[in-house]
Amino acid sequence: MRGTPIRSLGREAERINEQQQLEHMIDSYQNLVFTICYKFTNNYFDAEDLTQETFLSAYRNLSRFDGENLKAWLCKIAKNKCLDYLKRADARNIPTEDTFFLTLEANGQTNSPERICLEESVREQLQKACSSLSPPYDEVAYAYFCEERSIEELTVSLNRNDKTLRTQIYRAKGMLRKLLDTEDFDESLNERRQIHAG
Amino acid sequence: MQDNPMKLEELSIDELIRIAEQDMITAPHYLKENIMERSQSVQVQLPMKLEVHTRQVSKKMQMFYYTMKISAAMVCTLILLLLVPNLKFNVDQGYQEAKRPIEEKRTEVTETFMEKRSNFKESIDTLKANFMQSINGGNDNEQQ
Repeated sequence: MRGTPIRSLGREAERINEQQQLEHMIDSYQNLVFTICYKFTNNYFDAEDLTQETFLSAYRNLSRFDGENLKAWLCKIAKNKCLDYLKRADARNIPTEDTFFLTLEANGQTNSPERICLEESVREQLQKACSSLSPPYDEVAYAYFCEERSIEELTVSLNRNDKTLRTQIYRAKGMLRKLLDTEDFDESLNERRQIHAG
Repeated sequence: MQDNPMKLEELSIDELIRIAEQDMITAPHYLKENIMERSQSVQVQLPMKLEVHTRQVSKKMQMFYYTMKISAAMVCTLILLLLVPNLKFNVDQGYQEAKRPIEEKRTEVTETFMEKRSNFKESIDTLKANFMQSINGGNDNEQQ
């Protein structure tokens, strides 16, 4: 993807053009990049952060892009970001024989009914995590992350201040991140339920 | 089902894309908005503007600016090196000046103390001598 000649248009036009290019990249490839980041991190919110970092890095380095294969370029940036993240977090998994996806591919079983859809699994995990939070974060988190409602809608429906809502979403995100980060997510979820019941 | 990041690392970009496209997850609905907001921030814009500026300035000019910066740094260092010993002397002198009244006071107090001590000692000696004299004088009278 090559931009139109921009030197003659002035800085403002250059900036607008780059913004448009960024928007185009996001619209076309955000799901792909997010999926790649999730596969590396297995954490919804870390994947979200890494996806943001990927697109911002691409935006900063647009001038260095040779215009050949945008998809591959973005995915390479995403992969490098994920690997840097794993090195920083020292979160390398112990190598296992888990080659489920690769084996499935080799055998051509990509549409096997036994295979759990990754998206559904992610959504289900997120919903469980949101419901396990204490009020008022549970309803805010569920509405924002699971039902995908905007902040403007939530200010009306939940009858809350915009700032309060943003603060609650920010805190809920932090709690969810910790919750989803634990190795044994279901066990920790049960513990939280017991605490709330008690 | 969890993927092993180490195995993903070994895959080529095309293979990674193929696997990801077969099992795509929808990104959060607020992600685009967040990215667009962050792209407007100074932290993102400033390095880009600096880079554009750097590219626009020719290599010769860059070398020239660099040389000027280094030269200026050297001159400042030399000035500081020459100035610091003088500053140190002035600071020491100032300190000595401030110390003088304290020293004088201390000397005065010490002298007063020593004087009083010697007076006290003299008076003790005098009393002792008188006492001894009185004892000896009494003994002499008795002997007589």
